[in-house]
Amino acid sequence: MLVLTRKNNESIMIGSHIKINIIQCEDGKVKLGIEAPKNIKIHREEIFNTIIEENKKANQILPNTLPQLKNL
Amino acid sequence: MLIQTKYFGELEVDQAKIITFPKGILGLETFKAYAVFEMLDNPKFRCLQSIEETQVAFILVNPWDFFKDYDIDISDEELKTIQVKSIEQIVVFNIVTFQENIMESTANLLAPIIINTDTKEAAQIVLREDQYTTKHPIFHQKEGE
Repeated sequence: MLVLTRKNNESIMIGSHIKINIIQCEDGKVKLGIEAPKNIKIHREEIFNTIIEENKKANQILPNTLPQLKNL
Repeated sequence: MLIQTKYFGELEVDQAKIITFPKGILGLETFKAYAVFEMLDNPKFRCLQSIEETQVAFILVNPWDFFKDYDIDISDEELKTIQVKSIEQIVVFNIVTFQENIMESTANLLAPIIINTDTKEAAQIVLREDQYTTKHPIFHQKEGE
């Protein structure tokens, strides 16, 4: 992992098409502005855990649930 | 081939129709091979059953049956992982999370399943967090209830 220290208003380039701007850093929070081509998806890391959790919940269906679908 | 399903006992599955997830489903990456079959009682629902692990099975819906304005933006990178060359090859489904009160069940619009109907490859992709969540109610309550 490459570790860099940046101040407010400084930036980082990843490859030649992705730019990360440090917009504001205070109180242990960093506001980042990310410029990237439209085909690159950007997510907070936690979102993957949220999806994994939902997939696991979806895998648990109570026995009396599916028979009810024929009435809907 | 005959497979054991989680909710429907033993079923006959056409080998040629088996769907492969090169990267698996998020959180369940070990399992790559699935069968999709319709639920005869209600054609709006399908079952995605793991062929490798009987206990892994999901109920899917076609999002546009329930959410007319569902707008999905699939990146070129994502299309490449399942070798999609044209949009017509893709079908989209969303995983349903059922609640004890079935009317409170939700669909995961944030992370749809996309299937290449020609190569039978599939992936679970992640859309924009500011647009969708993992829990969108699929059954709308009538007014007054």
